[in-house]
Amino acid sequence: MSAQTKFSRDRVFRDPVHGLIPIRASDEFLTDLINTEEFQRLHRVRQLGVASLTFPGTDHSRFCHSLGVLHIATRILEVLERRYHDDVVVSQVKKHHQTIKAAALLHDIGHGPFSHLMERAFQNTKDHEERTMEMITSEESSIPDALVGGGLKPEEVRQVIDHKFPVLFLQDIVSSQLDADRMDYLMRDSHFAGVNYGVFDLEWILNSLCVGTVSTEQRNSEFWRLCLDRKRGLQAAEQLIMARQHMSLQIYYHKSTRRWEAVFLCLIREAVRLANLDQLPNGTPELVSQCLRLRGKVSHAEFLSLDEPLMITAFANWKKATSAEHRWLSNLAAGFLDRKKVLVRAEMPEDLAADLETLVRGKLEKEITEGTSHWELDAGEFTPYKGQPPELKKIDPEGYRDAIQASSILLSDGSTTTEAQPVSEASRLFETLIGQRFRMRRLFCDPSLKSKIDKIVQDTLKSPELRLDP
Amino acid sequence: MNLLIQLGLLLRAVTEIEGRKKLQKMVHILQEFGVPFEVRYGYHHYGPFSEQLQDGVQSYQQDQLIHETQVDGPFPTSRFKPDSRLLSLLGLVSSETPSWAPFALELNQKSPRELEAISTILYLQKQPGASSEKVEESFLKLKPGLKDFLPKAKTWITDFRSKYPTFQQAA
Repeated sequence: MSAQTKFSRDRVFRDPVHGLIPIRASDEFLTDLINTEEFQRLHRVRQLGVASLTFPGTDHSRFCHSLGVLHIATRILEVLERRYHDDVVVSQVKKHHQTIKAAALLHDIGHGPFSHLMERAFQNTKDHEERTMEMITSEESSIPDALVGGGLKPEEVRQVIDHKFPVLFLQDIVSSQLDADRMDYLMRDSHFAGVNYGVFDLEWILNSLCVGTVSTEQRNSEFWRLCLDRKRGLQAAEQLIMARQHMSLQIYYHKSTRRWEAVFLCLIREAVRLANLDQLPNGTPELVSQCLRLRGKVSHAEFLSLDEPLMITAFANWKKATSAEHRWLSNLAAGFLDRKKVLVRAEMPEDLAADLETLVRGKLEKEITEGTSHWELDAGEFTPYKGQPPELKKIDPEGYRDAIQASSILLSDGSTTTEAQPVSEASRLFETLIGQRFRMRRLFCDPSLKSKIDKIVQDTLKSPELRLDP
Repeated sequence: MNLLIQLGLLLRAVTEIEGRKKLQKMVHILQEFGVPFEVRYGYHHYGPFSEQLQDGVQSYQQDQLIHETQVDGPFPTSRFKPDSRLLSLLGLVSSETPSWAPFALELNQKSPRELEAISTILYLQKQPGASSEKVEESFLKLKPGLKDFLPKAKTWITDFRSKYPTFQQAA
């Protein structure tokens, strides 16, 4: 046997959340994908950005989360295969299972350092999904070769990430209200944060999954969706949605974490300003300078090296800068690295309406001449369940139907000919959650500007132009 | 530009929009022509649909910046109108009419089903490996009920492309 011969064998990852995550020999392409430079980079991107400054255990990476999503997606596929083993159409789509597994594994490879924070820092740059899609099909990336080597079509994997895969109930496994991503991140984030909010009955949810249709007129599998069995899954669905709400309010939107995120965003904005003037401190890694100048629009090769250790190296360098033009940059970097309070909260109601928020932001941009690196208006808003009020069914039946399909958990009796029903029509809890929103608008600022900013906010909220209520 | 301002500009340009479907499809078509509505679309029962747009509109409705009222009739629907607070905000942000306003007005004169056909074709045209034949084939498979609209919708898209070149620069 030649030295190049590959041995196919089952592999297993040990995981604190799921126990053992097996990769079957028949799914060898998954090992090839895991071994790419693109996927290995996820070891150096943390799942929750800067949350570990508030919850010290949350240093877990996108790498372990991605394996967890693959694991849950694989289990969902197995559940559906068992339940529909004698259904001809479901058997036909079995050929797509490997595509779904690949998409589940790769769904986060486009995340920049500190995950979603880089997207907030560079809002007009590709978001992580766009970057992920590009990495799945780009010739510069090693992902397409690994996919083609396993007999998969990169374009099809990309379609799943792009929400354009023709078999919706399979796409739902990667992206929907019942997706593997959500189930893994809730369990994983709560485990590492050391809280019990994210706990839900994964085993029972998996056991309750089935397929239903959203079009009784058109009986093709393109209108089938991933559903929960009405008789089994209702309470588990309620638990899942409450887990998400508690995790969001207690962890993801935690006021201290959001403050550290504000510090990070101000630090990046100040660094961008200096990079544009070519005044970043000496010793700033060239790739970081480049990324700041280009507002995140870096090449594939550069993106592979753009990770959290590199950014932290730059921050450590900026912290030591002593010249006058670097004072604010140095303050922010020191605050971030040493967890020192460098921004304070300005006075602003947390439930500020969208028009007032837009106006406050506009006034601050105009009147705070020190620049946008001295304040951050965090327009936090969380919706526990994006259901639709049942009365809309009569007012705008088509609008209701599309909205339900896009954002509801669906219930079915498991038959592919019975129309799926939104969970809010069967659960009092879900019904009460419709229309609920948690606003968490927070304004953070440079302490030396607090009184000025407080006054701007106060004056804006009293603005006569906005008192035109009918 | 944020979604509230973009939606405000749209509603100010057309005064009102009848029905959620029409609103969804108009924003999708405008986006396909380069108007920077930064919302993601997926494919649903009545064609392209954006959950982000739906969520944004609901949030602004709660703030009473956009009103949705019931329109009775044989085919009941709803009507979206901007609140005077939203109009006054727009006045403070931008008094200029956007360059895409005439296009929005033209779209608003079409029926929801016509817009559904246009929006679905534009969506299918962006699918990997889309050819004219493939788009047509997928359209007829997904939208058998809109078969009669297909030739007209294709002509409208061609006309729009010559009449309203991309708005990206104007954004």
